[in-house]
Amino acid sequence: MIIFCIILAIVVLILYFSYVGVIQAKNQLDEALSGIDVQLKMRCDLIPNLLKMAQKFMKHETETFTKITTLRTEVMKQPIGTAKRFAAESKLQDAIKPLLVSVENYPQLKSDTTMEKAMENFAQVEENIAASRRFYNTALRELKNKIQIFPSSLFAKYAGDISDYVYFKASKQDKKPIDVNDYL
Amino acid sequence: MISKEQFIEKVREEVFPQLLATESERIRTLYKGGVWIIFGFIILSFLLLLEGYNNKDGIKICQYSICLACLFSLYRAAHIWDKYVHEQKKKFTPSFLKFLGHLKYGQTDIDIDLLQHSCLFPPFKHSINDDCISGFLGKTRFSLTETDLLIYNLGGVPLMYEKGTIFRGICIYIPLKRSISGYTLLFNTSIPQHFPDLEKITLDYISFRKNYRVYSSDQIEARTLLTPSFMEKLNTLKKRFNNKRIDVSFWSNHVLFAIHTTEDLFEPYSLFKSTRNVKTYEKFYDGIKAIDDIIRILTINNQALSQKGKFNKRLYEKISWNKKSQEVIIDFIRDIGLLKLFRKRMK
Repeated sequence: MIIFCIILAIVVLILYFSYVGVIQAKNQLDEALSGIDVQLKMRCDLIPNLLKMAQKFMKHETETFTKITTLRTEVMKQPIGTAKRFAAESKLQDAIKPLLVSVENYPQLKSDTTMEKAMENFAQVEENIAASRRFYNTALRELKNKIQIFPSSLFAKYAGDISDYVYFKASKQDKKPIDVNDYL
Repeated sequence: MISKEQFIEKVREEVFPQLLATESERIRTLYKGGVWIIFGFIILSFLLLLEGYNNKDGIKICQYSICLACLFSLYRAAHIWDKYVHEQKKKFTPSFLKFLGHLKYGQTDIDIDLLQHSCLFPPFKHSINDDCISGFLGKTRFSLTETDLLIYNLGGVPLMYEKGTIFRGICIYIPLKRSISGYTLLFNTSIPQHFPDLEKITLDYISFRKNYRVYSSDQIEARTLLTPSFMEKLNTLKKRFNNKRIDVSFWSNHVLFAIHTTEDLFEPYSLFKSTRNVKTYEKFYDGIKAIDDIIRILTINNQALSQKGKFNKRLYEKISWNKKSQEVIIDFIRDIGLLKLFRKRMK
């Protein structure tokens, strides 16, 4: 009788910890997603500053500035954490890259201390975005492992519907081979 | 930094003549110490001889005296060798270092506070530093020291405290230009560590997760620091140091690497090897080159933000191995020991 109770207690404990593991993994995934948003928001907030400084020197790039401003407005309209927001952020990122590269053609702008600091901050935020995306991928993998492997799979329904969560992948633009001549 | 071949070439041209001049002195010192050791063994043989006699007081006193004499001769040998090696290191190491960068021997920025603030070690009372090197590799400042960290532990007998070594190896400290808000600790072990105030970080690849345990106050910051390329380079560095355990701590604007090893990796001079032996100098070069590689990784992965980091004292006090609790535990154990002794005497 006592042995039966002990075995039962062990089984209950295992099931309980499996359930806790699934809930923790789901919460961590939500935290990771929110982390990406925080970094993307920081990047969005840096853009007006960057454009203001660049406009002083890059008088012939008005088309680029207009495009970036429009895309930024589009990003701010989308709700946080949605696929539409991520898609808009991706387009904004693609628009900013050529601007940062063309800064190299304006030595006065490049050597401006404020611009230098802004570029450094921007680079730091980009690093943080990459790190937060890796965190998101890891958290999603952990959750998927838990809900697909027994005994945590018994509590898969408590994780909710995770079909909308996909691994972060690079855009087609990023996967294209780089032609150095485009930048020279 | 210059290549290994260039380094050996320069050593051969500029330092070898002076080193070869000391070769005969090295052999003489080796023999001097050897003579004391042989003397010690001869005395020991008398001790074994006396063991066959009756257990009288006179014999006992002889045996104790012989023991002391034997120990003294071994100590004398060690002292002669140690003193000679120390003098030669002080004399020749700066000559080797000048080829590798702006490096100085005998100076270090690593003090007890820095080691304690890194949170890589349990609380310790003392540190004994051996070889210290500091200076610039490229534009980056670094310091290293071979160190033993000691704590007084309760020994087998109650009321007697023994010295315990909690860490023996090499500490490498590099100040970062980048500011880190919290703590990120990386332990090269599969054994989970106890840091309730830090989050456990799951690294990106399985091979890393098996061999490393990472704890940090910030998930994003930890991943920004411990990129896959950094982890790959760390693995390569481990091989450079013969797969010894390497722990890393990032905090404020500091990074500390703690390599658990008993080998002397930064000694270009050896009493037991000929001064013509090039492998000793190659080993020395490999050690410094490994540090150069670490610095280049950190410069690649961390953009140079010229921010001064603030030391997060609150977090440090929370996560550091609680000194007070350890002293309480030691006192408690001592009291239990006293209790046992009291009971034994009562019987």
